[in-house]
Amino acid sequence: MNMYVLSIITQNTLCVLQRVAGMFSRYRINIEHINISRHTEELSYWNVVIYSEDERIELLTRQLTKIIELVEVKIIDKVPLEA
Amino acid sequence: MQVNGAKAIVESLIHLGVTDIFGYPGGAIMPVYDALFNAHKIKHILVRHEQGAVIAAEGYARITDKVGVCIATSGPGATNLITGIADAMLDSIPIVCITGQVANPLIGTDAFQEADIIGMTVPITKWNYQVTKSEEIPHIIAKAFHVAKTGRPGPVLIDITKDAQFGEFEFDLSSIGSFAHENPVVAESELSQAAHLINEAKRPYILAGHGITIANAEKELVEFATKTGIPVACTLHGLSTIDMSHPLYVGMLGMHGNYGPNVLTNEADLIIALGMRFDDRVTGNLNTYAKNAKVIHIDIDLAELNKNVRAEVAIHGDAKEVLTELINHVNPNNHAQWINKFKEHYTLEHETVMHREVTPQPGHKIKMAEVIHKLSQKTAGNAVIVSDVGQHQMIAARYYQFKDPKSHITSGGLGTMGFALPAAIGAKVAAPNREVIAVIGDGSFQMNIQELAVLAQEGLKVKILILNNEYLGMVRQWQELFFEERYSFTALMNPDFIKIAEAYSVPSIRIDSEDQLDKALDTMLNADSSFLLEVMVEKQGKVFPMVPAGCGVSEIRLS
Repeated sequence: MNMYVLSIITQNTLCVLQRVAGMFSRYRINIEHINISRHTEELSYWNVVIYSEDERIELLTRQLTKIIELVEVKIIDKVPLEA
Repeated sequence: MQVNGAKAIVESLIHLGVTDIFGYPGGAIMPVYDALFNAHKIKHILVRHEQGAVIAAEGYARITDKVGVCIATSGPGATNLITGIADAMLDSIPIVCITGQVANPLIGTDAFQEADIIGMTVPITKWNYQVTKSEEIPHIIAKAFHVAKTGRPGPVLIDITKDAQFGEFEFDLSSIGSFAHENPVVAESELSQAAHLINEAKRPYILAGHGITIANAEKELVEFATKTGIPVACTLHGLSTIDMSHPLYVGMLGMHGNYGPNVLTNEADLIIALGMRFDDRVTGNLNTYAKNAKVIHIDIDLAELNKNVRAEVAIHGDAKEVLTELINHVNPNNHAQWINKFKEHYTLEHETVMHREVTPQPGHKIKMAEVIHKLSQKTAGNAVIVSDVGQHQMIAARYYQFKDPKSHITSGGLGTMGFALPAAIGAKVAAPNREVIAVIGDGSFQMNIQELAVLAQEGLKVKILILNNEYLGMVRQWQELFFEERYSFTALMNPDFIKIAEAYSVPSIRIDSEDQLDKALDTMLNADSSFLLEVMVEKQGKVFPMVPAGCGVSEIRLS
């Protein structure tokens, strides 16, 4: 189990929060911390902290990239947690 | 040109090449229906339940290269679409659903027939969007079609408020904009690695899936297999990507697939997975799946690569484009000994299962497989078989000898009972010159039986073959095999389907003995109208082979 920090850029649209957050819950990954800020009129920048296994996070990020309103997703930090 | 939003929707659809839509009117979509009244370039097919509309749109898309379109009103009209949308999501079907919504000022007020269909369909759509301004309509409709069709196809829902349908604006086709799409570029190194594995393999094995059909790569599949001499098995949705009489075709994969294709998965030293996603119904227990094989996985959806099965070479690309390149990279070869193993397994399966299933036994009821076997012979494998969900679905997949591409339509991923009749309607609208036969169980038939009305109203010559065992047969089979014969609520006391067909003006006959089968099938096939043939079949028949849930593919049971 690791703690991951994800950086996500999405279009700033009405339903995008539900669509992205829904992907986390579909993979049974709880969002521990989230910060979304409008970067420009069109784009939102997200900072998301979650706990997950490596395989799960790989699947999740690949599924996230399929969201039409998503511009970019990056894992910017990974901290191993003690068992 | 000054038009209202509803007219803009219809004009946009026409501009995008839409000629047929399936739908059901209601309050919040009435402006669109008003605009359709004089829209002679679009044929609207009135279904009897919105689930029929969305599944008909799926059937339409499956048999053509076009996007299927359905429309429904707000609230219950929209929520009735949900099962079909989820079905299209799992089976990668390009459809666009247009729903009416209460007027913008009423949203959030629990207005009459208000439902948050955008919120409800987020997890089951590739994209959805709510239009509240008329001016957005041309661009959003065009984007919906682009998203539905490109990459891995899927369903899109556009929810349009009633005031946006009424609002007038200056409609300009150039405001639609353009949408560029390029398939992923495949690296030369990936092709070389794949070709190296293919050239070196002793027991290579092609698993062909729905991606072949979606990419129109049937010709390339056969060319690739023929050059390399590699046997081809198909997933349920891969059926009809290759003529089943082709010497390299070895059968269907999966829980009720053929014996050899399942067992020999674990003897192959190389698996070449083409446009398939290693669904659990194909792999069985992943811990024992294909452990002797390296895997080349080619798919248009990056998220499918390394999802269930780790691939030595994972190629993100369009099946047709990748195969076209790969054909030039591989050496001519043959694998006669390896293919003989499939033949040996086929002989065993034929002797222990298939021969018995297709051979009439005096004094016994007709078996489902006999009916499909005869149907296959009488249509020379040229019909489009649209099956529902259950035992008859597996029997249709196993015993119909598909020849032509896009000949097998069924609900694979979601397993939606009630699929076949509306999907067959959609397929027949799209391809009126093809023989479309809906193969349906008595349980499934009753889930969308109301769509019989469409056949008479539209004059659609859809043939319906009911295989009636008076049970929810597949569940009954599991109860017999895995729940100690506790047949909990699977026996059906059915209505008289012949009387129902008569009420819907669909000619019909029912048979229950073997000696009537030939003539009855001929009558159905020769009918110059829709026709319903009900065949009373063995009540307690079981579909074998079978990989029990949780078992590996090598543990497939022949009885």
